[in-house]
Order: sequence, then C-alpha cells, then structure tokens
Amino acid sequence: MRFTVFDMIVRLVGVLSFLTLMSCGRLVTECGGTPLNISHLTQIQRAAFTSNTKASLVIPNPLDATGNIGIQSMDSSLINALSDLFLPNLSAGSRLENNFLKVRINSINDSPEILATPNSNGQYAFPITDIHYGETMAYHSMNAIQTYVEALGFQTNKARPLFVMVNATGSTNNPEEVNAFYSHNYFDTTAPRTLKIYGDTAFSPRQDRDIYWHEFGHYLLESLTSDRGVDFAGDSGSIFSEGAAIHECIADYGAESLSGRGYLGRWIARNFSEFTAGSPLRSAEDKNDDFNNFSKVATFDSTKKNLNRYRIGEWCTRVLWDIRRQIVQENSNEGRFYADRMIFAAASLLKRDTSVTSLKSALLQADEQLNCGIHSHSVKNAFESRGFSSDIPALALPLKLKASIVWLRDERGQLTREFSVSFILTNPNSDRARNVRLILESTDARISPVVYQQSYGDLGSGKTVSVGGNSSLPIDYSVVGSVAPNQNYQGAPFNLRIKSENAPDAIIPGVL
Amino acid sequence: MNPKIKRIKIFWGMMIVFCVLSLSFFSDSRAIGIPLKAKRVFDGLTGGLITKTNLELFIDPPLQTAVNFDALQLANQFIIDNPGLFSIKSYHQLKGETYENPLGTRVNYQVFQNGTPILGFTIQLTVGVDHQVSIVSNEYHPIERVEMDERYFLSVNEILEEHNQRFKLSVADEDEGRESHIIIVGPSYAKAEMGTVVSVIEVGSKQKAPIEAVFSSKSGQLLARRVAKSEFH
Repeated sequence: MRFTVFDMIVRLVGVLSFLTLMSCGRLVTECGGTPLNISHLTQIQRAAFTSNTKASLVIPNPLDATGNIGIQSMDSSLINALSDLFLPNLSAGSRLENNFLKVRINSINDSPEILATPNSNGQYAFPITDIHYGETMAYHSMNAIQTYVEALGFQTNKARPLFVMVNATGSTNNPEEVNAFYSHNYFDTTAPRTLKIYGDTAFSPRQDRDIYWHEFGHYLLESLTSDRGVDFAGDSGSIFSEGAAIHECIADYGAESLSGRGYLGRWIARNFSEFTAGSPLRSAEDKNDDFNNFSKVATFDSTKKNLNRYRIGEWCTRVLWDIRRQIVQENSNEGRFYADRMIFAAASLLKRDTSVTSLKSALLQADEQLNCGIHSHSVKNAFESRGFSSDIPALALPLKLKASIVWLRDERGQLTREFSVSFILTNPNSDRARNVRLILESTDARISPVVYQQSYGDLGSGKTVSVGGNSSLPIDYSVVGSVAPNQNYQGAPFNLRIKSENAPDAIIPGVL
Repeated sequence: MNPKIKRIKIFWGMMIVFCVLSLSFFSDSRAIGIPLKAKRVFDGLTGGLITKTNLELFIDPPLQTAVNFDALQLANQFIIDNPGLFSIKSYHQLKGETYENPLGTRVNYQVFQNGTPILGFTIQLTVGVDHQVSIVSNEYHPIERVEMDERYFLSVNEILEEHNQRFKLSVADEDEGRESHIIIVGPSYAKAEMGTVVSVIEVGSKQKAPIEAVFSSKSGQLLARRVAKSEFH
C-alpha cells in the first residue's frame, strides 16, 4: 500500500485530534467549578424551606404577587395572595432573629415587648399594613438570600450581627419619605451592620422582598471582598465613583437573579411620581431608555446626570443579565445558579476603588477558574455590545487642570479647617478619556485627604469639567482635605493627581 | 482508487470532522458541566521556603489552630515564608479568618497595632484544593509605628470643641455613647495616626442623617467622614 503526503498529514491530524479528545475528557471540576446542589438551590429559590415556625406573607410584594398595578397594601383582596411559608434558622421561636440576623422596628435598642411574636399556632401572621408584617418579611427575605448565597458556596462574614430596622428612626420624622440605608460601619469596627428602612406609606418598602434582597447585596459585596473598600472613595464621601455604581449593580443583580424577574422595585416605585404605575425602579432587561449603552450613562456633560451611581449601575446589570441569559440558554434548568456563582465569584475578586474595567477582568478570571473560560466570549461580547470596549486608544497627553484652593465654611458661614479646590479640567486629546478622577494626595503630615477622590466619568475630546465658583458643578464635586485645629498649616504641600484609564497621569503640586 | 485506501481516507476524513467538532467544544456555547480540558490558574508565586526573618511577626490565631486548620495554616505559613511580598512590620499583628468561596478557601487578615485595627489594611489570600496559596488582594503597607499613648488623646468633647461646636454627637439609640478607635492611614501613606470614631450630626446642616466621622485622637483634625448613602433620592 502506498501512502501519499496527504495520507500522512491526515493521519497526523487524526492522531493529534485523538489525543486532544482524550485530554478533553476531564471534568469541569478540575477548573474549580465543583457541582452545585441543584435541588437544594431550587428549593431555596422557591422558598420551599421547612422549619417549626411558619409565616404568612405576600411574596414578593402585593403588586408582583397579584399582577394588579393599582393594588394598595390596605386592599382586602390581598388576603387571597398570602402564602404560607416557613421561617428557618430562628434562634428562638418567639423572636425574629438568630446569631447573625436581628430584626427590629425602630432601632437596635427596641424593647422586646414591641417586637413581633408568633400567634398561638406558632405562626407569624399579620395584616400587611401591620408593622409586624414588615418584620416578618424582613426576616424571611434576608434569611432566604443568605441561605441561597451560602448554598452557592460563599461563606459570608458574620463576625458582626446585622440589624434590620423596618421603620427606622433617626434620619427623618417624615413618614412619607421612603428610603433604605445599608451601613457597613466601615470605620467603627465595634458597631454592627445595619439596614434601615424608612417610609410608612401605602407602598411601604418594608413590604417588598426586593428591597431586602438589594440591601443584602451591599453587605454581600463587602463581605466577599474582605472589607477592602470596593467603593473606598465613596465610603469616604465622594459623590460619584464607578465603585459605587458596581456596588449597586451587584446588589441589583443578586435580587433580580434570585427572583428570576430581571427587574426590581415595582412596588416601591409607586411612591415616586417619576415612575408610572407598574414600572420597575430598575431593570436588567432592555428598555427603551439610556441604560443600554455605556456612552449614554458614562459620558460627562454639564447636566451632571451621569455622575449618578445608579445609571452605570443599571447599565451594568444589563451586562450581567446578558451573561446570565447566555448561560441559562446553555443549561435551562441549572444555568441561573452557575451564572450567579460565577458573577458573585467575580465580585469577590474586585479590588479597592474598583471600576467597570476591573469588573470585566474579574468576570473573565472567575469564568477561567470555575468554568475553564468557556464563557469568555460571552463576557467580552456582553460588554462590547453594550458600548464598553477595552480596546480604547491610548491618549498621548495628560489632562489639563487649572485649580485654586477654597476654604470651606460650615452651615453657619464660619470657616472650617477643611479645604477644597475649584478647578477647570480639560481633555486636550482627540479622543475621550476613560474614567477620569481627581485625587488629593497628601505629601505633608499636616494635611489629611478627607474626600480623597472624585470621579467624573468619561470626558470627551476637548471637553471640560468645571467645579466651584460660578461653574456648572458645586464645590461638593471636588476633593476635600483637612488641617488640624490650632496648627500652622502655611506652606503645607499637596498634590492633585488626574487619573484616567487611557491617559498619562497628570500631577499638579499645590501649597496651602 | 483501491476501495481499501478509499475506506481509510473516508475514515480519516470523518476523524478530521469529528476532531474539528470536538475542538469546537471549547467555544462559548457549551453547557457547563460537560467535561473539558482544565486550565490551571495560579498567580505564579513561587517564593518557596524563605528563611523567616521577621521573628516578631504575630499571627492570630497562631499556628496549630484546630478550626479550618489546613487553609489557615497554609496561609499563615505563606505569609511567614514570603516576607518580600508582605513586609509585615514587627509591631503589626495579623488576625486571620477563613471563608469558603468557590474560587478556593479565602483567608482574610485584618491588621492591628496593639489590638487597634488599621483601617483598610487587609490581606486576602486564597487556598486552592491543591493547597496552593495565592494573593487575592494585599492592602498592607509597612507604615511607621503609630503613637498610642492615651495620655495625649483628646476626649470626644474636647474634639468637638476644637471644631467650635460645628458637630454634635448623634443621639440615635444605636450611636449613643459609642466611641471607638482605629488607626487611619492616608491614601498616599504619608500620614498614619490614631483616630477616634464617633457618630455626629453637622449643626445646621440640611442633612439629618448622622455622619460617621473619624477625628485625630491627638489633634482633633477631621480625618474621614462618611454619610450613609440614601438608596433612592
């Protein structure tokens, strides 16, 4: 038998391919992606817990449970939407708390007598308008998402308890003011974590599971990242940062994915006049709005509308939702869990003062480690298709800054020991500068940067950011430094650094 | 053509098609869980055993801790063995805690000086199933020892007086009487000092929410402040 060159090539390719096939025969677990307990996760997702204590709740909120966009919490027909649920992991049957999660009404120090207790059947069952209903919803919601995250393989930091106040006092005495604050108590390491819900309206946030799940997301991100300050600048007082936007993004994504609805806050949005009845507060699904394209949420303009963490945050949830959708398409029964695991794992890799660029890298790294990188194309495509390209031109020139020192006055008009800078910042390049930040750096022990960084998003070619004086942005959008009382600070030097992801740093020295 | 050779060529042709299809398994459209080739990921830290030079390095819990023995033990040893990577000063202590994460067991270290935490100084390591240790993040910086003699510290009232009563203590239940200390370090590490953390209200401000403020324990200088973020407006 004669062999041609073609035969030899064919055989060589065949042998190599055979060897490749053999080497393919390894499990995905070798990448670190251990199998998930799908039945357990599905039970959690369906709130199919079992325990000795029951509750009666409208899940997730009256509007989504009934599909009636006009429904209000005092509507008697809501009794038909109540579901019997279990409340697992309680330390004691007569209090809505365990070693970590503790539900209160007004404050941490609430008297036990005013808190919800089960009825004679051992059930937490209250009218929806009752404050105790809010306590029960808080416990159920927070415990459910905590259990879900743990079932995905993430152990969270429970060294400090988390107190949830469903009708918090301290911020405002106006019951119509609707809000929610999560505080990680970053500075005071002896303080507990707190989630405070405000608003005693017909559409109270305490009646909505979405709110608890979103706020839990803030705790989760800090916990996953070991308190290293994903939004360190925001925690120190800056008005806007990409780190803050990503904080909101991960919090929204967790709530949206676990509910499987791709949006959140239809109930609470009824409190705000800018939302039509039935519209969600935020959506990971495409809508006819600005949040589908990065340039529309990240480009600086004088209206300052994009110096708002929720705009990039909502855009970011759509990117994550695209990735999730792809994984669910591949595996309709289990994909949602694998998507959540990959995205939370990526979140755990984020560094201090993170950025959208860093989130993309973290997603690729998490996919590489968990799934051998099989979703890298999906991840890249999700960002690219929504206008975020990593392939941006490197700019030749640093940004230009013209600044002057402004000593700040308190609310009574008296000079403080804090200074800021009014400035005009210009991008002299022929292309946009990505993620532009102004940073105050102390080079003298007499000066402490208090608000050490402010961010201004993407700055177009030839565009300027103008802060302070008669400018479009007030001085609050600048950095702040302090000097000690009763100390001579004359001549104390500092630096202003202009950073961008694609331009050389500019460093401008200053002296007090 | 000889039928036998023809059959061989058809066979190899099918093999090529099959192999091309198999290689396409690496594409993005594969379902998770299908066996595929693993790619090892490791940060490439190959320091090996380096002589322990920092004899005063104190790690809590100490070696031989029973809880999560393996991961914590390995992580502690990694820090001790790699002083070039961490440069932990002898007057700093590390306290490690382990957390499970699908990317590997995480060991989080907080850094302290004489029991007082240093804000933002955290080290996070991950220990893989193969016992390889890698760095997730390292926010440690070998700063100078901070003066901790409480005789020179101002009381909270003295600090507030330094600011001409601009701030008053928050009376929210959970804040009342609360005062703690941290070591706070400037972002450029030019300055590190003991800070007194209190919850205050800015007098006359429209902002009613308490501010979590850090003042210099020694001079009363405002070092950091944080207003809780409102969720909607």
